Amino acid sequence: MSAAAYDRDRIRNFSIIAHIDHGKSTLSDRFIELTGALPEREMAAQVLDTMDLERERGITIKAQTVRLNYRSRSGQGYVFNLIDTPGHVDFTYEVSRSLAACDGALLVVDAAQGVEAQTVANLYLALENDLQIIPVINKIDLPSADVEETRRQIADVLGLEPGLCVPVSAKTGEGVKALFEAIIEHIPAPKGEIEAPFRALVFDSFYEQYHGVVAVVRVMDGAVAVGQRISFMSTGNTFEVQQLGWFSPKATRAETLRAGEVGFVLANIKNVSDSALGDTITLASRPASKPLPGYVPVKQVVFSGLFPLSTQQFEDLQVALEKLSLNDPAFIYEPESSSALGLGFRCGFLGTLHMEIVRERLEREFGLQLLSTAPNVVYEAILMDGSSILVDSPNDMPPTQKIDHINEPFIRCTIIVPDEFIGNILKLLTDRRGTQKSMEYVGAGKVMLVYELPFNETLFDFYDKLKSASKGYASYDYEHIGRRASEIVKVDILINGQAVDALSFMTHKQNAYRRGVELVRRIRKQVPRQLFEVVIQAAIGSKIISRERVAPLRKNVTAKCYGGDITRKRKLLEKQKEGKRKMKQLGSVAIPQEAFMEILKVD
Amino acid sequence: MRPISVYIHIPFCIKKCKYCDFVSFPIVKQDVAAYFDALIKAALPRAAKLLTSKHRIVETIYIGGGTPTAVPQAHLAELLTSSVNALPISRDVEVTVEMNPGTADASYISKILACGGRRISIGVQSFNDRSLRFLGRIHNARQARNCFENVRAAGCRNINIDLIYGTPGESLDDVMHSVDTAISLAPEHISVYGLSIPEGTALHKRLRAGEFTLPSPDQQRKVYETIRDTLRAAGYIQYEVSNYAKPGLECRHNLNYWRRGEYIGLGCAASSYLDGVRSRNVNSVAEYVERMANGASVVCQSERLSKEERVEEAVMLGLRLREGISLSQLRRDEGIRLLQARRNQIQRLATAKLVNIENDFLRLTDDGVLVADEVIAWLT
Repeated sequence: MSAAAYDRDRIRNFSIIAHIDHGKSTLSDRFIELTGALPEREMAAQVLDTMDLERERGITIKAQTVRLNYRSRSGQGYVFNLIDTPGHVDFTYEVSRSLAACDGALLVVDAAQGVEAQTVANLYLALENDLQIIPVINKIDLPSADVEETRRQIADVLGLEPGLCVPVSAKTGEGVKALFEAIIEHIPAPKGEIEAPFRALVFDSFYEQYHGVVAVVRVMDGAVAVGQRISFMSTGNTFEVQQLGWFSPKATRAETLRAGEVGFVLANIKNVSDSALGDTITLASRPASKPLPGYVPVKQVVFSGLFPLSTQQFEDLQVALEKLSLNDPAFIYEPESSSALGLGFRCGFLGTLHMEIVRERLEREFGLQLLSTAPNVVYEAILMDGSSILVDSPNDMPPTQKIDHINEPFIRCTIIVPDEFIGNILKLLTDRRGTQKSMEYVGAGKVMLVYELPFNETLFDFYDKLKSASKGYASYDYEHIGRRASEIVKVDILINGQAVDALSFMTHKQNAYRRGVELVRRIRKQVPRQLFEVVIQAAIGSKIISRERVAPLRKNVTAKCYGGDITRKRKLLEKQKEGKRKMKQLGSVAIPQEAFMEILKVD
Repeated sequence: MRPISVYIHIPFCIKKCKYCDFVSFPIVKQDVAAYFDALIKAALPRAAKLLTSKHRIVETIYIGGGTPTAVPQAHLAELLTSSVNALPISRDVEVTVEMNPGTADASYISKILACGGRRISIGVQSFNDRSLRFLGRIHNARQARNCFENVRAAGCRNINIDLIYGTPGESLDDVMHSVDTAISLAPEHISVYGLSIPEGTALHKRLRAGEFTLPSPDQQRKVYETIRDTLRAAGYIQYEVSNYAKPGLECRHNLNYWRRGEYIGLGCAASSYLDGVRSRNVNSVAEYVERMANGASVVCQSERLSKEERVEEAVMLGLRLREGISLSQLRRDEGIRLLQARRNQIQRLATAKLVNIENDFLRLTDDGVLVADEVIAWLT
């Protein structure tokens, strides 16, 4: 099938899904190489991971999709649309939209590692989208590969047909051609009516400097052509199609996109938020009667204040956030003012990893130095009058006497871990207020745990603890399961009796004392001796739960200051003043910026 | 006629002390001769002309160093004689000469006094030999005591003893032995400095290498308070952070610095403050001599102070004085009402009993003096 010809029966739309490091990116590279889409010398390793940051973290943030031409053993030409998916738990919704654009999925399992937590989570997402699954046993070239055990786990733990398994080595290319044939054989050709009103699912969109928003879509029904007016069904906004095409992996233009095809749409869209993930595009002149199912506006679940270290960088931060949000509409921001940190932004993210990525990109790509306040989940406060409000910042929490109770978000997490570490992991989960839902042996010395626990408990050092409790072997995934009533309190930090807004935090009652004491100690270590005594306290309402003091300076006086010293001393004083200007105000106490960063650091 | 002070720098030493970062050089005969020549034949006449034309009258002359008494007595004698003869001096001019106990004998001392020296400041630093060795002084405690007795015997009625406390390993008793010895000699004036070790000095290198540590702020505070209370009990009035005097015998030359009076500096590395401009002469002896010979300017840096800088200096210098800052004078001189301009800061400092305000003066309390640098930073 040539690039221009259209034969829906010879299209295969699929994703590769895998636990992190099980070889998804390498397998994608091999697809591109073995279908001859790119000459070998143009194959940078892992071509689908574009940004530096992604390469460093080994995950893919922005999905990218490639269209590959493949001639089967029987001599037939096929079009493979390989739809890349983000590989981290925070991006579940993005993954689910990418999968909704597919008819099948390759579930990659590392033959040396076996089934892991994300394997399970990804499989569920794929099954929810009624995808045909082809289990792929990867890394068969490794000496430690155990193909048979992996095949057994795929059957027993995942409940998939073991006979369908295709063993491959993405690294050497062994078995990949057999996988191509399996794709043709087992993944169904796209359905959809070419004559029906045009409907396309937006499963990725990003901002490109010269063309504006690039919407990546899967056409479900009908067709669209350059010059037609399209409409986004969630907003009703219409745009004229300027360009259509696909990535193979270089952008290739086309006049039309038709049912079953995957490609990009350029329509002079300025805002990524106008091309929301999961939205349905239809034709303005002949709209579909209803949108494709599954669209949910993105919900931010972790909030944190971002402030420029130096107050002069506020506007730079604003510009950076605007630019960044062109590419990543999943985070939101609105101005926030703190008496301690000055002007900044309250930002919402899809999870803690998403938060870290945004912060790192702001610092790296825009040269900003940032302070961030402790991350916060979104609580629901049920007030005495029966009404309720959502609270994403401790400072927005209504006074205690107005609150009947507080609901906090919970997650269900899946952890797969070698059984030798099970004791450590159970203790960690219990410490984090977890409730066990199930625990089962998955084979090869591994246990799968399903726990429900407050989302808040995973915001601070949870991943690190999980890794250290299992020597790095535990795998983890989670999903949100709604809010539940919980004993949440707000802890304030007082400096000389004055609350410091940027340091307040919400926590469960049983952790308030420990976290209050820890934070107060950390602050004491960072506050240099001053002219005046500094008293640092943690309080719940009016009840003080921790107190430390920094004694005033004992001696600081220049011994000699005569005629020849005056200019130098004044210059020193001015330097000191300049340093003071850069200091951050912690209540009535000024402390160096580095000290403030140390205090705000989240371990 | 406006009062002014004159400082004359003698940048020669027999040996540099290990804590010293003043501009000084080893004595070389030819250099010394050329330098005094430049001072006497060029600098003094130039200064005299300038001061006369500006209607200034010299209230104090201070010859410091380096070690003024390290040079042959004839040079110093001629410099003193020429100074009092050439400059437009007031009748009760204060003329101070710094003296190292390891340098001047009885005849040298008599010569200084005979040529117009009226006040002698002796760099004793300590009456403990161990401390003197640590500091790299060229004399011992016995020589220091002899020197004092010679100066007194020669008829000097205004003597200062400089002391330093805070050398490593020195106990409170050691320090107080020095202080008590000084008191027993009954000088008119005593300066007591906490040891500071500026960057670039021999001791700084050793400090950084961890060869010794300085006393903790708590220890330093205790020593400072003990010295202050002892000197007060002996009839000395603390009039500045490190300076004590019998009533009426404060060093007028130094008071002039702290009250932001004008001064001109003669010699290399000397500073001046005249007509609102602070300036500094070149450091090098050779360059100074050459420029003087050519009739060129010897200034290497100068700046006209802004109003903000003048206020900063007023606070920085005025608070060092125990009398404090005259608020009415600051208002007259700079048009600033300090109590209003810094109301919150002053209130907080007053509540903490670090400053008080009495009869037009904002001053540090005894506790405030100990953290003067912080208070000054707080107020500027």
